[in-house]
Amino acid sequence: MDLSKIPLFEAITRHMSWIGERQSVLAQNIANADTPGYTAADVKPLSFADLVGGTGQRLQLTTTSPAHVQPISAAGPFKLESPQGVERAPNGNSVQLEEQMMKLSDNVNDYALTTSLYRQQLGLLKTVLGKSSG
Amino acid sequence: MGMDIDKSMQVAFAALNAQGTRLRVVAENLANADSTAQSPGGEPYRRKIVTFQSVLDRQLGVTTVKVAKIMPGAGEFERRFDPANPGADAEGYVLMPNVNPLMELMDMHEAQRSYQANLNTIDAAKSMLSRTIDLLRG
Repeated sequence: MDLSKIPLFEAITRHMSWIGERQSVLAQNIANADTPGYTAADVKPLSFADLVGGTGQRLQLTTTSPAHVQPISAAGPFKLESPQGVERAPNGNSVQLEEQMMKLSDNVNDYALTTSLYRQQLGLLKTVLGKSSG
Repeated sequence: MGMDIDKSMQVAFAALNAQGTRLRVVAENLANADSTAQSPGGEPYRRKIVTFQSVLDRQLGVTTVKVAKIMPGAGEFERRFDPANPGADAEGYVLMPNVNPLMELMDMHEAQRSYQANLNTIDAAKSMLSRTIDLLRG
């Protein structure tokens, strides 16, 4: 059974990889909290259309030969954005640790919610299949 | 997905490393707050400053942080009257290091705060990973 053929599972999986990328972006912000001139970034929020239609991702180069190399950059498949009009430290750094920590805990909670949803849906499927649900 | 969480941990570890270096330099500065010159006319200990730089980790594809340079800090040496000191000049004055303990302590607290923030990142990533593993339990 291919779970990713079920739209809900596909949406959940996409949301999970979005959260994963956000975690990596937030980690980069926090790591560079003392780097002069660093600009904080965040992943663009996913809309409902993104979850259902598969948009919201950046176009990737297609590799048609094993000799092709993907470009190396710090950006993942999701679109990034840098908030405008934020206060900068005298050294040009725009990372605010408090804000980043808040986003980080938000992200963890989002992830907990998404995995619970996934588990619930899996439980429903198992009920249908006649196995004991989890 | 698991890759991203793994990446975030690697970034945080690199940052822990950098902040650790910063703490080490602060400790060096504080320890040498009274290191005067050995001979007349010599320079005392000069305070060091750590600068950070963000670098693109090509293997992971993320922006990590590293210590760019440990530079000598600018600042006047204080002159203190101490004729008995081997580093004293003809008038009996000796140059003291340009280490200001207050500034070093502040720097230390800042390093500590950043270190904690990065530890929190690792904590968050770990709890997310364990959530993923929990999915297996069904």
